[in-house]
Amino acid sequence: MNEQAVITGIGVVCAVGRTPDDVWDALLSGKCGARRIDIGEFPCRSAATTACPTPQELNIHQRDVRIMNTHSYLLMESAVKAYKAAHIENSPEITPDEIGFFAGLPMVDYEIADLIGAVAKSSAADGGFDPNVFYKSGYREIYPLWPLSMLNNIALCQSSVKLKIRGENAVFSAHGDSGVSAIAEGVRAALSGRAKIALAGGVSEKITPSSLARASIAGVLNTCKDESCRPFSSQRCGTIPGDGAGFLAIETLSSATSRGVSPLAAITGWGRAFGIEGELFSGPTSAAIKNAMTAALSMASLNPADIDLLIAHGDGTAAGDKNEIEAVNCLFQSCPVSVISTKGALGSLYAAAAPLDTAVAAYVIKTGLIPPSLYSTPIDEAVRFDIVTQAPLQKHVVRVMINSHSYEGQAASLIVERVK
Amino acid sequence: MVTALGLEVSDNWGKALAGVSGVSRISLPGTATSPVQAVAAVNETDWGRIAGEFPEEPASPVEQERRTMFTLWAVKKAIIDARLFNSGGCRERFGTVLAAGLGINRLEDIARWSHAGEFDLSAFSREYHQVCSDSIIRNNSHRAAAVAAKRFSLFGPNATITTACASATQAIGTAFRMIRDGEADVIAAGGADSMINPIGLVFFVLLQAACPGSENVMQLCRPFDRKRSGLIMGEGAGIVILEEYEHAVKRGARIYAEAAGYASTMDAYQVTAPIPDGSGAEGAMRTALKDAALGTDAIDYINAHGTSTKLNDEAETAAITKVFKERAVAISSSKSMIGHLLAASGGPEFIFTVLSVANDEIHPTINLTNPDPKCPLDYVPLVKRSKTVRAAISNSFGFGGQNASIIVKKLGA
Repeated sequence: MNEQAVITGIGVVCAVGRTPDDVWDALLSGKCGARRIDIGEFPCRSAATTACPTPQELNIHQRDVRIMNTHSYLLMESAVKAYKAAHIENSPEITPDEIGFFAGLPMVDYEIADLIGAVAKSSAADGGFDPNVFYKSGYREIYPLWPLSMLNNIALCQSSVKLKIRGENAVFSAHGDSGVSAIAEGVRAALSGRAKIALAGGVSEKITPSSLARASIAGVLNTCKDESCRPFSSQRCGTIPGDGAGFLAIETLSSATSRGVSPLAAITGWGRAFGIEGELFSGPTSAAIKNAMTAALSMASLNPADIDLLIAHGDGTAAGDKNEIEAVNCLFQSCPVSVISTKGALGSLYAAAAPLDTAVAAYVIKTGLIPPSLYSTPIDEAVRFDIVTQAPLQKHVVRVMINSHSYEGQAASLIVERVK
Repeated sequence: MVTALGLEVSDNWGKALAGVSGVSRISLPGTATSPVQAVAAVNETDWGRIAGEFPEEPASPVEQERRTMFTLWAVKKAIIDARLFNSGGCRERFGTVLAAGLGINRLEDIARWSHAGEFDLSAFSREYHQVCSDSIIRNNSHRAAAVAAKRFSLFGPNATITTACASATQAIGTAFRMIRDGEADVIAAGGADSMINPIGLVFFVLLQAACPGSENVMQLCRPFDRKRSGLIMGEGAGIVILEEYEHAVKRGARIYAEAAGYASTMDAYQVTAPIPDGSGAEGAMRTALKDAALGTDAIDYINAHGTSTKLNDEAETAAITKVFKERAVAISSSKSMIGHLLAASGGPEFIFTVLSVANDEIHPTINLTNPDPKCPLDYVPLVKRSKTVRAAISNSFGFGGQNASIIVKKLGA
């Protein structure tokens, strides 16, 4: 890549803050966003939740509210913030057709309240569901525009209407790797000139009975009395879900320079790979994780020794940590690298994880401080790398690698660098 | 390839050229009162072949997740056709980029834990492991891509795109870019979808986009016809093997056509309807042409999105008119025969587009017997056309306002 793709705006919202500065301060101070949740009797009793912005705060028309949900609001809040932070509205020379929009979006689940009326009107004699009755009359209990709320591209489209974005776009689903894919395509659009600027990011999965059931079936949730997410700790016992979204404004360095906006960091490479052993949901193999990291280094023309910090996927699950530890041990065996995971503080944000970690990487590069990885002690004895714990570490950081994975075997890595 | 017309590309292509409709009356249990009576469903015999091909996929045949099964079938057939089994190559540079649709919201699951209109959350949270095996709760949108990649050892990039009816074209376009930029050598790209289930069948009824007819069902899907009355749902899959040119040449692969350009745009208008002037779709076609470094005079065929809805067909016609102006270009809609495969629709339609370029034949738009003054272009009505097709565009547009166009051309043209 001759031209650099740089970040010129960040919008974030998560359990520990609603601005990049607030999130950064919280991470440095070791603040944890996890709190008790009370959803039925699911064995997972904590999540890193945040308040959802109101329609009034986002100036959303009442007619649109019924087809929006938590993920739509979080996406809109963070995308609008990134748009404003990059001063796009002050650059009238950038037309709507020249703005790209890429998102990683989660599984969008039905709200039981939206369908239970139809189900109740479609009962069979034995109390079960009778499709004949449903087709004849029961379905009319469903709000006519409800189907739109189930399409997970609609959240992006609603924000495109609000921001008048008409350029290149894509929605990737559903979990950790999709946030990296969104950023990668945003970078590709900016570097190719197909977009003068691209908003790219991701959103977490709404914490609902359905999403808790999904993660419980996958066997990844924390079900212990100790309700923390403990990445790379010998005392890990699963991950906790989190609410959040992160969007980045990405453009070429020459575009940022000509617009007079300050580049925060550069994105210089990414890698994506697949591999799974045994049943689905066990996460990517160590080989897949290593392949993704190696591909990202190759694209950025770097060696492992060039990486100063790895923001790991580190989700505190047994299989996830084991495979990532193996891969990182192998790739960085002769070049010690500092490692953190933000999931102890933010929970598992799925598609939002990589965008938020990218924002963290930009702040690390800017400040020379690495926030601690919460709840990672006592460290798993298999770990052969330096996990930053307890307190921030002062270190001159030029290049950061970010890992983000999905339980179905997708591994993705991203390289963030100081702007040259 | 999997559609109501069959399980082989050759069958699909032959029937499409002959103008055979895959639409039939729905025959699933409990659908006698369904407001949708016409669907382009994969028939029971073909479904049995698919299920028999992958017997180890979990659950009973009734509850096998159809999208995943269609994906497995179509990826396997595409790999066989491309002669990629045992072909060597670095499997870490073989990827998978697929489209995914809605998944199945099983109302039986809600009924199971409901009493007198109240959902028993406590019971559900203890018994969630009993949800139906094909439920969206058990089948993440990227499951099909994972299952296929695992089975066929595709260890490179693995991504799933969910942009409603634009998904498969965006998946193929994204894969095209990945290969062009050196991220992979080979990618299985396309999509699979099925919404022939209770929520799926009423989905487009609620949105007032479904065709309500129940008589002469094979004549109900009539894109660009004045008497069109809505979309007919199809199901199935369309997967292609995209391959870096030198990689393909080196192993002596047969090359059907060259992927030449791709673009996507957003309407930014309303999420409930396409922008009436077609400017979003116009932008996608124009930008794809620019990406392919081709002028409009190079395009001999457009495989239209052509849903048979009032709004889409008018907006798409407006868009094509703006891009091509006075120049006559042949246009047809595959949906007139295979129905609307929703998130997957761009898959089979891309395959038909490739075959038009490879074989210099264009399948017809069937049922177009009443020209619509608002749709005055050349839609190749009723009968196939043989003509040189140097390059062609395949269009897909998604609910919400996402548009995608991809261009294929004869190799070296």
